[in-house]
Amino acid sequence: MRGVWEAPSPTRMPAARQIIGRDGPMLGAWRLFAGLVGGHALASGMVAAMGSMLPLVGMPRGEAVSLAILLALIAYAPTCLAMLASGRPWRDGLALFATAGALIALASMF
Amino acid sequence: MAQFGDGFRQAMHWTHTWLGVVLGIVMFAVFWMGTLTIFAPEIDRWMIPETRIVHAKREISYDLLLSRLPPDAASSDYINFVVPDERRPTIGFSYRGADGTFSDHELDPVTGRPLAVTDSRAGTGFIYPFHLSLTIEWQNLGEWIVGLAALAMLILLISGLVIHRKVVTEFFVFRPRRKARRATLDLHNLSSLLGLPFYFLMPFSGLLIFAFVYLPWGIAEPFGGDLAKAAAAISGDYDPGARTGRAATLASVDAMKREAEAMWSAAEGVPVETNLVRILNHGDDSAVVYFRNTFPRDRVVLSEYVAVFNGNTGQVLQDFAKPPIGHASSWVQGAHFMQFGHWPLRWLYFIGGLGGCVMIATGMLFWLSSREGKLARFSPGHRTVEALTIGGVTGIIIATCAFLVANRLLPPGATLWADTRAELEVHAFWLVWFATFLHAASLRAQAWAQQCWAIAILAATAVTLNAVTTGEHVTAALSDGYLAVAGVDTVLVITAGAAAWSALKLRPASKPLPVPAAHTVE
Repeated sequence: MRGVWEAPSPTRMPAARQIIGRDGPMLGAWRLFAGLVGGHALASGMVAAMGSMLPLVGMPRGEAVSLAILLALIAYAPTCLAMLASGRPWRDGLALFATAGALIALASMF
Repeated sequence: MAQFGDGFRQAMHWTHTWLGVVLGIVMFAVFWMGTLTIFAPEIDRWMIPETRIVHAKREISYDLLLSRLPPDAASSDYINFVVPDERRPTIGFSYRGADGTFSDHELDPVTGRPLAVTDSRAGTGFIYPFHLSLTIEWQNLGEWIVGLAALAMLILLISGLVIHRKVVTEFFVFRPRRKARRATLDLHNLSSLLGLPFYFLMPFSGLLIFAFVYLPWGIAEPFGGDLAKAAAAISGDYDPGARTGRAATLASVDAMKREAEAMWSAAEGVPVETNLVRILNHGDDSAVVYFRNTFPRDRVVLSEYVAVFNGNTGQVLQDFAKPPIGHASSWVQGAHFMQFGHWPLRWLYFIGGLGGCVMIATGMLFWLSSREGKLARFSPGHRTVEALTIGGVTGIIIATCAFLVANRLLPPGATLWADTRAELEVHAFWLVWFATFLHAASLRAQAWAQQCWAIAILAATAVTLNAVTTGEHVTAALSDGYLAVAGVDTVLVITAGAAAWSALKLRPASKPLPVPAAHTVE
């Protein structure tokens, strides 16, 4: 199955060893970096974009930012988990940064 | 081909294991100190005996207190009073001097005069800041580390739920008499599931409380990059601007306080009281007076109302009430602070906090025990985690007890190399904690029992020293109405008993293991 983390073999080798062996330090570091930093950028972008755009439909700006903070913090941990579990970490990590960048750009436009 | 569930579960297993091992000690330290922070004001009463005052509701004249300001506070840009209550019976008074440093004082609630109190950071000055920032102030680094630990905890909880497919079954399984490894895992599962909603709430609300630190750009951007504007819109903060240099007399703060409480009570339909009185730019014609109900007794939500008055005319400049989403957000934050007046729930929080400590500690113990009997036991990585686990679990409890003992042993006015008495207490905490790591690294598994004995001895010593130095042993404190002191002493006695019991259980076998007889070759 593509797009998910596949077990390399049906052996009973401990999961941690399988993943370390499969990823190597570079890919493992990328997963962590993309999850933490990309997740942070995504959360910041969400707050900025929602805080800038929701007032356009009548929500007070302070309320828009309060709502965005709650939602962004709820999204942060699952984003990190998704990066750590991703079967295509390079692609998914880059997609995460691209989404965060798009949200930041969107926020800057309004 | 592997199934989706298996691959995902493997990834969650890896994440759960290694995130727990790497950040377990930080999480334990934050959870332990957070658990103590629930009773930080009570710890203050224990460590600063001069503030052991039975609270009685009385009118306080802030106009009178302001007329007695110290000379360097008269032109301060920040003067703060915290209104006394049953948990903090003194009037908290602090101000920023001309050199930018803060001075903190405790005022007698009856006379309004400063109390000569023991120089100690105690619960609200050390244990609480340790919980939120590990007392690392440089560039908010401590808050970022604690934030990372909070995020890791959320990830660990989710990944733990994925790993343990049979969560309902595991909840009802605890086999303490089975092998240590099995019993440790059972206790880890049981403690995790028992307080699961609480463990989700605590890290999430912690992140929310410090959202302005963690997401400053995102919050400021909708306000043109101005974080102060964002704080004003979200929290009702008020910036009076710089001092103009034109001297002016402050109007009656007591009258403004009455007006603020009348406005809030009218809006709420029930009496609402302020518990924070702040004067900004005192003595200047730009002065403002700021009131807030930061920690209401009868509701969870924090800082629901903020009223700001022109200091010279007494006119209302701002009447801020939390809007619906801000109210919901403040409710979540208030559920973290737990400052509302609900004693049974406060004790449940305390038990929940200790349950969190058990969950984290048993997770790390399981990692260690699952590698015992293998070559990994002698690897540097295993030895490091072992020392960190022992020092991080029993070590921080020893250090906390040493902090209390140092508080009762250090003489008033003690100094060492320009460090004040309060700083020496904190040094005692750090030195003892560091020593427990060295002890654990050198003695390995034997250190558990010895460190439990150290906890028992130090906790019992703290109770004894409190009785000897203040005369307020448990029964005397109870008869005098000092429930906070009696409560801290009781918890210390229970801690000593539990630690001694644990030490006896963890005692290494006195007899060496029998050596198997050699087989003879027929």
